[in-house]
Amino acid sequence: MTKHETHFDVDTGAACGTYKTYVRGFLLSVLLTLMAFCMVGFGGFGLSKAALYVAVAALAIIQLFVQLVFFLHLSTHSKSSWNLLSFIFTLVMVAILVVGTMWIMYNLYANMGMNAMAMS
Amino acid sequence: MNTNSIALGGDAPAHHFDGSKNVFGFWIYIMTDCILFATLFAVYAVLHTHTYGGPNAKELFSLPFVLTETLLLLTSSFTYGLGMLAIRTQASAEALVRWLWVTFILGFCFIAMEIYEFHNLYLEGHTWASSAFLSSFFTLVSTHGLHVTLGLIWMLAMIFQVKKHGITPLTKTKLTCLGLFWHFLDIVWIFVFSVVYLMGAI
Amino acid sequence: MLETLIGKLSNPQEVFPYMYEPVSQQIIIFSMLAFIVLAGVAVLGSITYFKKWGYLWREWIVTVDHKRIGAMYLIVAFVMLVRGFADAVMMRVQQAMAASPSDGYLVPQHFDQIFTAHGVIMIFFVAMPLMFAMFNLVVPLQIGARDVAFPFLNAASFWLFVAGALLANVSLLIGDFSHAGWLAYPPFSEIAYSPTVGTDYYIWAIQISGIGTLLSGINFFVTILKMRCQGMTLMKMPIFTWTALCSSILVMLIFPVLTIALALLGLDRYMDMHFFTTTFGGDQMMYVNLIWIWGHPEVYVLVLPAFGIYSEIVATFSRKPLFGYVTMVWATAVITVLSFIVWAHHFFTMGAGADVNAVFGILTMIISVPTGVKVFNWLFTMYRGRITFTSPMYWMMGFFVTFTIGGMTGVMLAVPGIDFQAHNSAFLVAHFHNTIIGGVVFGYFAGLTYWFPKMFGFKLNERLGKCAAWCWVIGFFVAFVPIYIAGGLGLTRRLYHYDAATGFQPYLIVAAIGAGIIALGVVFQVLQIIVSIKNKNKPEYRDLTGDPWNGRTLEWATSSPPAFYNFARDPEVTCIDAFWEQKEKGLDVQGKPKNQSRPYHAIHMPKNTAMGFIIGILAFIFAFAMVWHIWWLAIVGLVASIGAIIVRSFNYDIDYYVPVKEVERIELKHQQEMTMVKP
Repeated sequence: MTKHETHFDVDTGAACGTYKTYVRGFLLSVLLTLMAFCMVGFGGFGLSKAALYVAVAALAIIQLFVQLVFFLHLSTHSKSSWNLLSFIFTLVMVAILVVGTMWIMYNLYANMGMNAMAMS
Repeated sequence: MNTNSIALGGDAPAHHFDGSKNVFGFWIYIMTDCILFATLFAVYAVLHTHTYGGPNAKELFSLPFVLTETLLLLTSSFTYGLGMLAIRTQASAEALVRWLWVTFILGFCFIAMEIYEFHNLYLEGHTWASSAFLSSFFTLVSTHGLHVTLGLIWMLAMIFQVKKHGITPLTKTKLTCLGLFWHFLDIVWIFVFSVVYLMGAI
Repeated sequence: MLETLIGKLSNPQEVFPYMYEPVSQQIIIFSMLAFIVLAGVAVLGSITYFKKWGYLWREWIVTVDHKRIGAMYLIVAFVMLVRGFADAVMMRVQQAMAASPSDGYLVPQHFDQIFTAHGVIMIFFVAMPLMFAMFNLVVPLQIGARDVAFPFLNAASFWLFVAGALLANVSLLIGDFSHAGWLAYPPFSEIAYSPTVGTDYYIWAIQISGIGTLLSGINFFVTILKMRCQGMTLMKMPIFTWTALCSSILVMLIFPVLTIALALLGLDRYMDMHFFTTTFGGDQMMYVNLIWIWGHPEVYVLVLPAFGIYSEIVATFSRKPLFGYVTMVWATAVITVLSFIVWAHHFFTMGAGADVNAVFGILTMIISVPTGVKVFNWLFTMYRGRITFTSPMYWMMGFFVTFTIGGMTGVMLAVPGIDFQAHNSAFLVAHFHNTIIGGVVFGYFAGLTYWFPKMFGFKLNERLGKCAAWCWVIGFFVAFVPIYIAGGLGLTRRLYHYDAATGFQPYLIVAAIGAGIIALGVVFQVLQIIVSIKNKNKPEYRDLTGDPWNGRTLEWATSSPPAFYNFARDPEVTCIDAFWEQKEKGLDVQGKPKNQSRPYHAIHMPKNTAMGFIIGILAFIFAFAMVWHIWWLAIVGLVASIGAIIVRSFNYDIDYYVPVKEVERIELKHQQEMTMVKP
């Protein structure tokens, strides 16, 4: 969304959408959801497992940004700079938390000979 | 940037409610909720292989069923947006309340489907006590469901408040916060759908 | 039937476990209970006798004023400090006595509860409320705001915290407390090994107060970002406010993780789930991982505001601006981020590979760099300053020595190889007490002494304050240097008794003496408060100017205690030490000439409400019912809590205007008081 399109409500300071942005966001989200569903649901089109994981994750992340922009109206506009900054910071911290946890725990399992199957 | 609304109120003769602090505060709360869900996702990511000889994600879940849930929630997110739009374009409380009811019903159907899914798993003998994998599955998905349920209760409260007070700066602020909450829950569900169901089915 | 009605309360062995213990234990428990009952009766009786219930309700319980809430945090924290400190003394005495053949004077299950309660209470119910007391009292004043961003939420946070603290202490009388250490590691904390309600008390006490903490974090973050007065850009903010901001950020990052970790443990216990159990695929190391994602940054949550306090004090009492303001801000920010990426150093020994341990070890050591920057900044602030050694400065001197040593032992422990030797030893215990007492406790005591006149309108007795500081610093070293040594010799933490041949006993006797010296310090502090209250109207105690220390920041620009609206006119600032500059130039808080008389405006303020208090009570009922498996009551408590929030959301009448006449009356009184002291 470009800057001049962003409209801020006088009472709440929140950025508002238009009919167009909502429809666009909705259609894009449905499309992305269906794409991810079809990739997995119809046998993966001959892609390897790893490629499928990456594809599903990528589609989810794209949809995250689609909804952020079209539904939550997050923009680079200076009025919502703290919102954007706090979101980016949270994203980094979430990455540290999730990746760090997985790294530590998988490293533990590998190192102690407790591969996942041993837990099953 | 330095808006001190309480202080500004002192100079303003007429009382004007400024909801920007509330909306920003709620946004920050949502950021903390992100961390909460991220923790649950991290737990699921580590424990999803710990099936203790029981079934794994691939054997348990039905993708078309979950796709329907996903589309329900996605549509409800869209209809909520249309409700907010009705405030601005038509300034009509009735149109807003109508969209809120549509959203409520869609959200309610989502929760009903989730309960149905859980109930079925339970009847098949796959409960949260069966394995670490199922514990983390039930906890992650039902934490989201609990949030949606709270969102529904909040939506009901807002329907009554809008009927009572109409569209005022205060109700608008609350509706904006609820909107952030609702869209946020939709985003979380996208990740539940992708990580738990789709990746589980690969 | 009875069990449906009152849950586990129907089992007397669970409710009164101490009735089934040796007489020696019963004597301890009953004398303690008698003390609590007597103290309680005395307090409640005197409130009734002096007919203060109405006053208490109107002025305190329903208040949303940040200064009042801060003062209440302070009171609860002090009561809890005494409780936690009593635990510490009991532990020290037990360990000093318990060389074989003696078993000491406690039974193991009491010793376990005592060390658990000591840790939980000191961190959650002493350090955290002390921190929020300081935030509440100081931050809105420093940024020139009328209150916090969400005053009602602030009150609700406080009452949720009280509910949690109360729950932890109810376990003294009804049931037991957790035996599983302050972080309740599974599998021991699982229902299979800890079947009593103790662990449930632990879980719910922390969950309830944790929600309050998270909400406070959000509240102060928004307050600081959105409510600063005219002209106060981020880089002109007082340094304490900066540290409060960073600490709030950390609170918001980590408390959700704590909530989840404890919730999963609770689900294991209540719903037969298998996150951390020893079977069904559960993995207890996952809990350890999660709890330290919270636990490590938590100590930085506590210590950053203490660093802020030291920064304010050292500048004020050196009569110089803080040296290296910008580097101080950046050091704080760097510590904030770094503290979030070092958590694995708490479990180097769990079995992850050398790569994980090396990364987390190195990141841990890096934290000492920004911390070192801060120490040098404080030293350079003092260099060539006109230093006055008041009691806050005494605490600060104690901090310098103590904290530096604690920091260095921390760097030692950050080396994975050393940690394999020192893990779970008393060396570690000595290390974190070294940083927490030296950094956090001294910091908040310093801050308390420094801002006490601002809160209550009179200063604390200096001489007794200095005696207390001396006792704490000396007592600290007498208590913990032997523990360092004994830890190095192989004394493990949480040891109930040991063989006399180990040679630990002399060290532990000295440590117990050290605890006694600290106890003397606590006595001096209590005396200090009593003496100061008694003399509060004497001129050397009374603060009529609002600026007793010749301060530099905005909180000193208003009266002591400030009027409920803080500032009659909204302050405007142009530089970091705004109030100092205004004093130098003879300007008022808006940067206008002082003698200029301008009209006041009506002031917009939030209305008081009992809803925060009610939510606290309902949360307590819910949690208590959950602990004792009284399901119907738990449902009632939960539904009522949600109902209370909904009822509150239907209330649109939440604010009012203070009329100009009222503002004029209050300000005139303050000005008259000020002219009384001016020569």
